[in-house]
Amino acid sequence: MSRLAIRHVSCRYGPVVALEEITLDVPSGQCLVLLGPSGCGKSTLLRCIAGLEQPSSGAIELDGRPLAGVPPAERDVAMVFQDYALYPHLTVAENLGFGAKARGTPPAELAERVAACARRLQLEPLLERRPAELSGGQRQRVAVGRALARRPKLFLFDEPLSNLDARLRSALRAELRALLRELAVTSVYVTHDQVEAMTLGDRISVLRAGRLEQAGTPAEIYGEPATRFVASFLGTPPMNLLDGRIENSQFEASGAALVLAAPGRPAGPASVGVRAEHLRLAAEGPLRGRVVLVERLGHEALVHVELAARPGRAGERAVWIARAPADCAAVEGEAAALAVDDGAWKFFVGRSDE
Amino acid sequence: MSSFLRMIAALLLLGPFAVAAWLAVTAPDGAITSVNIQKALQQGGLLRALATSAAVAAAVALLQVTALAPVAWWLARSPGRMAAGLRIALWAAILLPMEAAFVPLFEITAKLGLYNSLFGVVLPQAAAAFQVFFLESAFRAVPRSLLEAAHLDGLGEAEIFRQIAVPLARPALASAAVLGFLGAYGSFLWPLVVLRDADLHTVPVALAQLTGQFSADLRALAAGALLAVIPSTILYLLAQSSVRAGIGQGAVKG
Repeated sequence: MSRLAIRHVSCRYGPVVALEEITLDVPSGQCLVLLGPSGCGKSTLLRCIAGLEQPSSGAIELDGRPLAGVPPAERDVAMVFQDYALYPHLTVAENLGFGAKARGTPPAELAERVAACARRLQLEPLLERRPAELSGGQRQRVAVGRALARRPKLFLFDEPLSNLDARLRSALRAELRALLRELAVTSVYVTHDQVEAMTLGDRISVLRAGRLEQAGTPAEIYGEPATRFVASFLGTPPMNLLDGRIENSQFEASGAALVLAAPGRPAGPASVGVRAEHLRLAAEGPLRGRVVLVERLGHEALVHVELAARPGRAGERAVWIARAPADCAAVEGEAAALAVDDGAWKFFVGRSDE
Repeated sequence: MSSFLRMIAALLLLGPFAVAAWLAVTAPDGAITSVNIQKALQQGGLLRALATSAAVAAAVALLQVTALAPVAWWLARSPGRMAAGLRIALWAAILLPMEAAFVPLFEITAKLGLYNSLFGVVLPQAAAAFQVFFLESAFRAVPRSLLEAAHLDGLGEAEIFRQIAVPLARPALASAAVLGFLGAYGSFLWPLVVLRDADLHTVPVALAQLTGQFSADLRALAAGALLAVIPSTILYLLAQSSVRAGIGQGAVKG
């Protein structure tokens, strides 16, 4: 069992800031997911933890031991790469045992570990094959197994499922989740896939442009997004948002006819948002508009409503999405009103691009 | 059209070979004979020369691959100024034909006491700058994530070279060895300059001895040339199977 601490880590390449003042903790046995769009710095942070990149400043500690200056080989961390990074000239069995062997594990124990790993990951029939003879899912299982057989203090996953097709991804995601829970290994998992983040993470840290936007449990990140970015990044569909201004404790949207009371909030640019599941099609509601699209998904329907524009601002167009029962009566082209559940409004202070 | 061009290319390549083969096995009156081959073997001491050439070429190839591969690996892994400097020096060495450096090379070889020795033939030919670049590009093709995985698995730079880079670059190393062998096997001028004793002569030098100042026994020469291609042909056929492509498949996402 081991814990990871990241303290004020920044990483700059000339004028480019890849990471800025990141502070995070991963308690022993937990899985931290680093979530964010491409180029947000999540992989850079993972590589800093692995020792493949050096932070410009800040400290990373594993079990209280500072890792600065410790070469990757001596950090006792294992990494699963997006592109698998299996040794093509070695068999599956040799790949599984490679890291443990390089660290001088006695042959008898090595064989035992490889066998256990193969059993756990259902790789036993494949042990004598080479990576080129495996499917994508099998390769990724070998890559995970190679990390497992090492028994490191810390597991790092760099978008391990993103090269797989959707069906395989969800199967492997479930497998990985079971594995992480069962072994209770401390791990850091990088992904841009919010479903992976929600299902695998004990905690999620959302990164954007090298900065930490929000850290919390999956439920906190989804239910109480701290910023407009987190709100728009998480959720399928993402949170419905309207930009506007707060003046005199009153929010006025710029793109739709909506005025909301915003007691105690500072004046200035702001946004409001509501998750799709907190919107209901109703006869009356604060939001009026026209149904432009009904996506019937079988178990539910997603109703896209174009909100009526603010008088005199006809150019702007906001479409909100409401979750509705599969058999809802919404018809494309007809007028509709949206009611909002109590307490579902989220306010985000600041300009929309901040 | 393309098959027509290919036929012409094949004729151009095989034509001289066919003529030599015909000359080698016929007497002036057109009768089939083995006299020319016997003459080449006896007069030119060709058997010994064949063995010498094969040994020299094998030594050059082996030295090139074993000594230059670590240099190429270092170049592929080092972005620094020293690597840039070495690269410039290597390019200069490629631009300068070996013949242009014969005088200083000869002096160095003589000072090392290697004049009239096979080592004297091997050493300068083993220092082939081109091979460094050839191998460097092969090492650069090894996926970065594999090297990083090996680092994290606990391997040092030397072990990564030995356990990961060399096995993955094996097709390129084999190609480099074949190229080095063929180059050294066919080289004429440097062995002619360095070797004095006839019993040390390599094949091209021995063949040259078959021609007199004013006359040449073309049929014996053709027979000698025909015999000379046997070792390199065998090597090529053997190497073909070891120069396998695709060993890198499956390492990273396909």
